[in-house]
Amino acid sequence: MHDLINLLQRRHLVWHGTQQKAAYASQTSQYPELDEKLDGGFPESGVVDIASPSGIGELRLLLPFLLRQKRMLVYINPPGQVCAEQLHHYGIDITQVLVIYPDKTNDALWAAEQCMKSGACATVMLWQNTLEVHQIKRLQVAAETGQSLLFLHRTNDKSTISLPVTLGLTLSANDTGLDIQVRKRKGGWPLPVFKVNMCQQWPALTLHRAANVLSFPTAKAV
Amino acid sequence: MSQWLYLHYPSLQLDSAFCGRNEQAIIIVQGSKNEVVQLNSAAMAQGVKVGMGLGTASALCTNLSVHAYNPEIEITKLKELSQWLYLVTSDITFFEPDGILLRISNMLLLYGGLREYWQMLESHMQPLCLSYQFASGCSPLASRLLARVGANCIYPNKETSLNVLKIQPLHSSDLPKNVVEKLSRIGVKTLGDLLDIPMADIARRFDIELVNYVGRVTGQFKHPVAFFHPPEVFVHYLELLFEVENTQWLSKPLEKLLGQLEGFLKLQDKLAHELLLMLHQRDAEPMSITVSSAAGEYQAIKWLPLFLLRLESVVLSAPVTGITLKAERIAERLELKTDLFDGKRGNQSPHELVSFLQAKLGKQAVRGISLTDDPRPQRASQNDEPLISCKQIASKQIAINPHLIRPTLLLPYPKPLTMQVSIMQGPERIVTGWWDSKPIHRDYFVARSLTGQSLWVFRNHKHQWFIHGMFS
Repeated sequence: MHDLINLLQRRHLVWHGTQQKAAYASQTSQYPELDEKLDGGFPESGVVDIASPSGIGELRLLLPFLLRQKRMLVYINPPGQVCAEQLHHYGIDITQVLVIYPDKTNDALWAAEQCMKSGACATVMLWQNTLEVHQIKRLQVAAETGQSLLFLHRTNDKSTISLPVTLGLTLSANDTGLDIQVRKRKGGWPLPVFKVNMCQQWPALTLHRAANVLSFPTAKAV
Repeated sequence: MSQWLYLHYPSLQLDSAFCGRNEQAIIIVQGSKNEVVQLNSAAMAQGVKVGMGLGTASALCTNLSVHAYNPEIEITKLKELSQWLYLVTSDITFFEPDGILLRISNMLLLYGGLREYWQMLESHMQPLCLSYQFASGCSPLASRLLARVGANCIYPNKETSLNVLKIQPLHSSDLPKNVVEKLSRIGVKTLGDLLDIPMADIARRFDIELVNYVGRVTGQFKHPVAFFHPPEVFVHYLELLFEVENTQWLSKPLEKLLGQLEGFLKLQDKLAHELLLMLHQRDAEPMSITVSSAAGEYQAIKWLPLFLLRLESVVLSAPVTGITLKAERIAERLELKTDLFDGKRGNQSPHELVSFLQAKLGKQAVRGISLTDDPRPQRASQNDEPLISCKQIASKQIAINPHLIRPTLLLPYPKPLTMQVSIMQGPERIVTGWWDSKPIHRDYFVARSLTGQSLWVFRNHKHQWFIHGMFS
């Protein structure tokens, strides 16, 4: 019996529910914890839905990944001015960055679709809180055409319906980095909350204590 | 000694307006003289002749379509014709309103002989369906004279052309009528008679004009001609056949103009970066629409969708009667390099994408970012024209400093800090900007709010606290 199972396994005739590979080609996010949980990193193309409060490091989570992209990077409706200084000193080629401020929601979606299917952009960042299922589907088709990846940033996590995204993440802040919950993953199971440590990449922005530093003794109250 | 070829178009207006076979008899009448100047074969068959009065012509032929002679049409057509001929021959000059003069001696080496040159020219003019008379000669005036009398011959050398020239009567020359009459009174009837008289004798008896004429016909005197150069700007006007109220209906006429632009640009191997479309409206100011392409484009098929996108948002105040297309910026074509091994991903280049987005959303909505060497944070990062290569050079000069702490997103304007935060790092003091009217005096800190947000905050010299960015 045991030999038979081994034989079948060798011939790849046994399907393992637990050792399933992700249904998409992935690229490393440069965060070891995240790569491990996501079987390799972010998808190469598709739609990644990121629900997070603003300012906790949701973009910093993506920056090492963006650094490795060669084509254009597009910001659509960012909640502030994209800081060229930061991107430049991080090593990203700022001439490849496009920032789009559309007046209307539909224009933002149109711009995102055009950018993604053009093939000229590797990554598109879209800040938009509400999206319909059919809109996501259209964006998925565009991503497929242009081999590009859309990061959809939302600040509300109150979506009742499940959107057909490639990857759905919910982020929250902790002292050393981020707490990430994988809500949805194409070809995989949702994952409970895990920690991603950002101490190495962003030492100034985390509350970590290095192991070899002793805290200054405080005077005892007499 | 240069050789010249003159092409005379006896019915240029008729041919350009009513091309092809027509059963209807058409004549073109010069109003001031009241005489027929051009007519088609159907009118000729009914006995109408050039030089007839309108009354005689209409008496001969009952069903006659009469049009007024308009030299403007002929001149416009002549210019188009010169552009067309410029593709195969270089030195072109026009004799308004109905003749074109070519200097052929320079072209013979290229085409390998007079006969080959003429064959090529003839086949090049074939598709235009214009009737013409031609003749070669040793001087511009000689070839013009021979062409106008309908010699239709290319003379291999100077002597043969001069022999034919000599038998031409004087009244077919360009000389004024009174001079011809004066000459005929002294027995000079043909050009040959005139050329036999020594130049000194002509000068004694007649004025200098005649001397000049004789000298120019024989080629002894230089005949100055200004050669045609194809225009470097593209401005075309198209009169619409009917008034258009719906901008969608403009696509067909626009396509025609863009097609002409495509031909124009292709010949020069150039690309247009910005086009201006003027909609001439009835009883209203013309409306201008500018469409630009960052990559530059010559093909009509690529320009048309950009214009249609732009026209979607245009509201007309009055019906459109005509459109003008003007190429605002034309530049040399640049090679675009793509990676062969990257595979096919979509079909737009970055520049094409940018023009496409700008056409719909407007230039202000689609921006790039750039870096300046100003130490003030709000001025160091700027919104700029997208994809400019000079920007690249400027930002490359600023050395990368990985230890510089800057937020990923800046607020457009600093806003007062109202929540409780704890300082994580700082201060970074920035006191600068003394050279213009906006100096700053700030201590920047990295702060963390109770909810875990990382903020870039500063304290000014009055100890007021502001948020300036987020480490998103």
